[in-house]
Amino acid sequence: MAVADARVLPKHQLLDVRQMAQFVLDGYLEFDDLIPDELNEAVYADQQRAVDEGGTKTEFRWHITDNPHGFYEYSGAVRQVHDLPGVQAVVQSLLGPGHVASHSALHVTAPRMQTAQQWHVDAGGRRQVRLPGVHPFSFDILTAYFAHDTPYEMGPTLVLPGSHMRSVLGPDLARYKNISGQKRLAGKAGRIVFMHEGLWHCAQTNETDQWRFMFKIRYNPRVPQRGLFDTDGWDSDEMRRFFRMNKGAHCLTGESSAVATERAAWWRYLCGADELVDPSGTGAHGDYA
Amino acid sequence: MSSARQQVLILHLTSGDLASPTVAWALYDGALEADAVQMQSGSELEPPYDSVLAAMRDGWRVFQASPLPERSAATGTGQLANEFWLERIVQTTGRQ
Repeated sequence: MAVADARVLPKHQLLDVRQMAQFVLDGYLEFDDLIPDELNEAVYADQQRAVDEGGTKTEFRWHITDNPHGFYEYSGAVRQVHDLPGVQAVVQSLLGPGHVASHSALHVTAPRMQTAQQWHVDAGGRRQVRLPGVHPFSFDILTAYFAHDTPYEMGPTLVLPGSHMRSVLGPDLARYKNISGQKRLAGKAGRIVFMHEGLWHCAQTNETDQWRFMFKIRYNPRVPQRGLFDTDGWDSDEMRRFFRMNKGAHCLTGESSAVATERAAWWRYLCGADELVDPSGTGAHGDYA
Repeated sequence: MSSARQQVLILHLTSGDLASPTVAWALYDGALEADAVQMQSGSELEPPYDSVLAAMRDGWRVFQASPLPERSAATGTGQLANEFWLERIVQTTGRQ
């Protein structure tokens, strides 16, 4: 599972502008209908075999085994899930052909776990904060796949929509506990979520008597992330209205103007526009901000 | 025998106005025993107070506020702004 197939999928299979605009706004996309029930059941059975009373068995703990794909290699079903055309179409729309799976992990939460994970951003934080010279609009994708029903009380991953626009180092969020707009990714078996690398998130307490599982893959792009999805209509009245009406979405402490401007520039970059800023040179973005 | 303990409440508001709405909150309770569960991430849907002023009316004392945010294109947006630290001293009768 190193470098993915570099074939370019047909445009009609890729994300459309409405879906991509929602990703730009929220920092993640959720799907409930990409994975058939029998695959979810097979993955869940494999996951239950991956734990004992002590939690995740040692062979699946990649920090111990130095194998960043232990469960992925163990479970043929989980490999099938991530090879599904519908799943690959989303990954390719966000990252382009030839993307790399840098690591994966089976996340496990014990029944009646009363402490939650601290808010964080994976891999130490947005690359733009950590590494000089990284393109400001490049991003990795984290998947969160739930093979079994994960209702609210089971504590599926908590995310803060829109937080991917904030440049922070990962551990520096631990002071926060509850934030307006926070959302648990609750859903039925088969829910898979594709998150921007900068999205604030954390595992939650588990109020049920069942183990909770979440399988994650971190994907890196290998190409500039421009024009990789179905961009038809990107500059339409509908899209302009979408961004205009959502200008203040997810704004918590006065960032609205700055975020809307950055969001507009990112949208133009993603869609392959010739100019990243408005041609007037004023920094304005017309209806986009 | 009772002992005084500090509770710290951290509120983030939509603006620097202490009456503006609360958007984030965290409680660190020094009166809880070491094995008790403190406030957890994602544990609550509604803030305990609508604003810092509302908390002050309930006896909380503000002892620190974040500086006004310095925003620039170079730094972008990062941590939540408009952070206020409040404290309350409570008497405990539990273990020492």
